[in-house]
Amino acid sequence: MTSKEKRIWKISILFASVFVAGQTAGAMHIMEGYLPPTLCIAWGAVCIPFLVKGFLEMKKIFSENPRAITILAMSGAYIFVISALKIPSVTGSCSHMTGTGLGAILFGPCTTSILGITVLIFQAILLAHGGLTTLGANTFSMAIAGPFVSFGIYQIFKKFNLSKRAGVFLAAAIGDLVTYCVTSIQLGIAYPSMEGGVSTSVLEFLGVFAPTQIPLAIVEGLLTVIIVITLENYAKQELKAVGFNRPGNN
Amino acid sequence: MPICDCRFYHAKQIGFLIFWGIKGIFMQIDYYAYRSGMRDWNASLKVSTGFLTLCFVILLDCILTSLIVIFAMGMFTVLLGKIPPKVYFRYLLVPLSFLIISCTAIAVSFSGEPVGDWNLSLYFFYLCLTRESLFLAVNVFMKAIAGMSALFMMAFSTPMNEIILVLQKAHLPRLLTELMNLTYRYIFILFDVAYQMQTAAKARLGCRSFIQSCRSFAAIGGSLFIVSMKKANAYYNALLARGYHGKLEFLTEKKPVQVWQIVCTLFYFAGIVLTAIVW
Repeated sequence: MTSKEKRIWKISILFASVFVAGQTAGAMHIMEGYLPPTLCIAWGAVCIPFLVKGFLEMKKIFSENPRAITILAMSGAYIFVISALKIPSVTGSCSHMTGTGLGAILFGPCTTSILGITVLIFQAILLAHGGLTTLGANTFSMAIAGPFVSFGIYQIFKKFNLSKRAGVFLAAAIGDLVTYCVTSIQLGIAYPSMEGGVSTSVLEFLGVFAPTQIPLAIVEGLLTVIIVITLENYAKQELKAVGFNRPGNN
Repeated sequence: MPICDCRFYHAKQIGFLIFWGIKGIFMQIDYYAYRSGMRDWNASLKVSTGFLTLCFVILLDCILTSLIVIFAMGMFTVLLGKIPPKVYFRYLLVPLSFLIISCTAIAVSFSGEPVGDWNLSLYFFYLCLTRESLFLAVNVFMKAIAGMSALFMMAFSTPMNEIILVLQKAHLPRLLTELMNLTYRYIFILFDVAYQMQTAAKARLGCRSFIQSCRSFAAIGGSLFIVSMKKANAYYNALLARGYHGKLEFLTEKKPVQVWQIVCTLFYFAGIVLTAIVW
């Protein structure tokens, strides 16, 4: 090979590896410095009511049961670790769960929003995923929109006495898809397309992330179902401690 | 500090084993933060410098500022913080795939007719690229890398507990900082457990097929939850036994701000602002 051919070869390897590595993007964190300042503040402001609600709820839990502090801290650590573990995938690339669907089913959506923002801060600082200026946008897509939808679907299935497994699967998978759609919308609003404006660019972002996110959502749904089944078989006591299946859970 | 050393060891080992490939370097930020050359700097100074830099990067929105920030923050981290350059660059590349995909989406647009400075016919529609959109994509790319380097300056030089202390000084509710402190500690404990479980699963051919690896993953997820709740109870008892009344107090080292550090930081900010004005 001549040096030019070698260079082309190297560039093609780099190109290929970037697109294979694209699979590792797993959960979609908007990275640091990506959003314009107005949107950073706006998305942060949207999160505030949910976070305040979560905070007040948490305060109430603590005043009733001080033991909850270690349980909630452990739950946060659990969400962090479960979202950092490599999940099995068909393509051989490595991807990760968001873990927020599971969190919403186990701990309720308001608590998950607070746990979620803590986990996102840790992910930004310890794992270089996401960032501090985009914390508001990421919190909204991952710790608020996803969990609330998951929880809603799960509750609907429970209320109408439909199959619990299907409920858990749909809750986790659709929660994941909602996160992906909301992130695409956030990106689309931030960088509208020259031709068709916001809607075109939202579609573009949905399109470029679809190949990684849709299979991921299905796998996450399946895994969440098996985890919940495992927990119901072996961890009734522990589930009671976090308020799972308590009537009036949130 | 034997306890801390033990945790470094685990963090490093677990980081290498759980996150293979590109993720093989995860959790090492914490390890390097404790060994950083900038460890003795005042934590509030480092955090506020990092945060102000982030604000400048996204507010000024100009490529030159981003380049200066990338250079200056890289110098701070590598020269003063003594982080191995190889590690630093590998971390900067972590979000590269997200960045490339989304910057492509910004630069390229679809259209029914050939518009823009460059276009590529794909039978049904055209892929169009204009000079402005390309410029915007490059600008966003540089801004994002600059943001990452500012974040890394902070993360690679300040251990998490000091960052939490700064947040506490900034009047974040005590309840939240308490929760963050405990969560931070528990993360390493759970990683340890998860690592053992993964080894156990692998040793029993838990990853021999896709279905089997899904089952093993879920089993690990489930058992991890049980273990974490059991540990939570035990830790609360341990806290109570040591006189816990809803407040964790940590002894902290006093790290006064040195004059040369302030001069350094001011000089750096003046540089950013001046170039933005001149530009």
